Amino acid sequence: MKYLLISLVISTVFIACSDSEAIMESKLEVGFEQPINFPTPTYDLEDNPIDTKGFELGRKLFYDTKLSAGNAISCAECHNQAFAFTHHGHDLSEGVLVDVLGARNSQPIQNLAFMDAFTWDGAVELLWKQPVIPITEEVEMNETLENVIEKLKLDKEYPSEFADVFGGDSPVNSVNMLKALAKFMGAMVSANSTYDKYVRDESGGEFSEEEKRGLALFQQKCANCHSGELFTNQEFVNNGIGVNSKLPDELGRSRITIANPGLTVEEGKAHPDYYKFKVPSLRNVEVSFPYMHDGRFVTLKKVLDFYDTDTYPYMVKMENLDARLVSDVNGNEVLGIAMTEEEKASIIAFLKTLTDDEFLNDTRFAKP
Amino acid sequence: MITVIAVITFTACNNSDTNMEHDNGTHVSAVIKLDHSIAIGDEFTIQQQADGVTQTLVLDKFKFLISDVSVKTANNNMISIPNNVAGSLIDLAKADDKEVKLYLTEIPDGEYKSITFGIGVSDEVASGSADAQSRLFDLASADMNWSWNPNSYIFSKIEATNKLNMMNHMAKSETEDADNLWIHIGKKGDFDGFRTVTLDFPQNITVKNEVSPSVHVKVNIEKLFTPDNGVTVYLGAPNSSDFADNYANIFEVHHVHPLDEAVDLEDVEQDDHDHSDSEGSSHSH
Repeated sequence: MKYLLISLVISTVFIACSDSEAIMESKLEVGFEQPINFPTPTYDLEDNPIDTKGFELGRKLFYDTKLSAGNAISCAECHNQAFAFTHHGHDLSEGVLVDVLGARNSQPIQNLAFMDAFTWDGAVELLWKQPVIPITEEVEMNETLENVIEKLKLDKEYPSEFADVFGGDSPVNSVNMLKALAKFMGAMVSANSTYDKYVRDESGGEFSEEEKRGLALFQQKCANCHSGELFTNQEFVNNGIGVNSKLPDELGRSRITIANPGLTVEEGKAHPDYYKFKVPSLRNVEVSFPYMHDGRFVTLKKVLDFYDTDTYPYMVKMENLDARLVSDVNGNEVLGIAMTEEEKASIIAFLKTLTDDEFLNDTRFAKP
Repeated sequence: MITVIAVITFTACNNSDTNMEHDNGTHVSAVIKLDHSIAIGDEFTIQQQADGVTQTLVLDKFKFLISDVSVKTANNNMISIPNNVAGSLIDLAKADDKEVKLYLTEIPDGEYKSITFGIGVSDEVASGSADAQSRLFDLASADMNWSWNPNSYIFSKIEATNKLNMMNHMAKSETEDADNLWIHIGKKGDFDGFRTVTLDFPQNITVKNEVSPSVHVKVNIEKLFTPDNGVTVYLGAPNSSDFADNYANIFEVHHVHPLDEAVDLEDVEQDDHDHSDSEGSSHSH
């Protein structure tokens, strides 16, 4: 019934516009899809509407090496669709510079239209501003916005494509390029996993007994932080992961929240936001390995071994370790969440229901 | 799948969206001439906090973003000029001698008594509409952008080399902790360095087609450190809040030329591009 109503609206508008161009566009492949079980998007659809042309321009940019120095790599280099747009198997990733690694694990690009902040430390709060980081970071694409715009202006196709989407006197500019990328990323909604079908009571949403047990255990043990339909409360948390000795200068969120731009590592370590990272969404977590901000755990089992109270790898207690991970058992301080091996197996079975094959194979998001 | 929806319809119908661009001509309503006290490469002095000794520095960089420009009419109406029209990057490195001109367009005809502008970009603008900050973002993209920060703009930069270090032929990297000056102001963490400045004109200016009145403003860079009203900032570890506050102190309206000949933005932008030393005529003092 709802669908019927929507198609009615569309046809009305087309009649209103009624020029041939609009009818050409009626393939209507892409727009923003709001899943009924999801929260309200943070993405400003009025400021940067998502339509097929804009989405296609963003997709083209996403897969274009022109965004990097020496036209070496595209965004897709470290954001590969089959792995929920992460860098398959890599803990850290090389950018355009040989043998130079970044400091953080490549994050999935999915459901970003619902997020409050981006990157592991929440450096950016607007989706359209996010790509500035990978484009300009030396360890990633090592390019300047100005250069990218120059390259796009010299291209045979981009100027007219930008004009089609944005209009105006000089449509090929940095804000429009970033807006196009945001249109593409904003439309990348993953909401058709087995779990989604289960909660929406749709066909294909059947849970096994173990998956049901896993869901119940997950809700009891994990959903304090990995909450809601996005499977993240979007908080920044010190989860006890402990310093990576290969990356001793990693500060986590404190480098964002400390006012001094020339902060020292010592200053960053003394701050309450030291080694805090954004609680990641767990959607498609089965395919987005390795895990944690530095990709140090390869399997979900290792992650749960870390979070439990007694199996190696162990939690590290910094002063700001999240209180939800500390408990008192008979007067003894215990770090982590109590889980038996069977419980872990059930939780992992449940986590695999968050894999969304429709999203991972959606040709609209693939390289055209 | 069908949820695709209505959003599409906006753009489909809206090819001729109201252009933000100035379509009503490019007549310059008024010119703000920012006449800096020193040029890039000039020396200036600041006191050391610890010992009170004066250090001589050579100015390497002085630039700031201007946003949220508004003008006040003779009968006290505030008229805001969109940031896509009046947003500007003032960069002393691009000065004609020491003067940087800020060309204001799209001010309605009438009499005006003051101008107000922000140094930097407010959080409201930075976290608001992408289109509304398009011009500011482009201006900032080269050297005033701070990608690892929610408010992505660097509001102002002043950088200078300590002359002592220069005389000792020390490389810049060796002297980073020494006494070179490097202050970048923005919004980071709980510090927000966005400040608003209002400049009253000594006499009202009239905006109309026949003229492009100019306002001559002295920009006293040294007053960032020793303001007339405010806290003195010493070399060493300046308090960024005091420093940001002091921006309001560096501007002083000297005089106005209410009847300067009308100029067209396209002509002056042309001039600015290929200005070698064609200075001359405009300066009547």
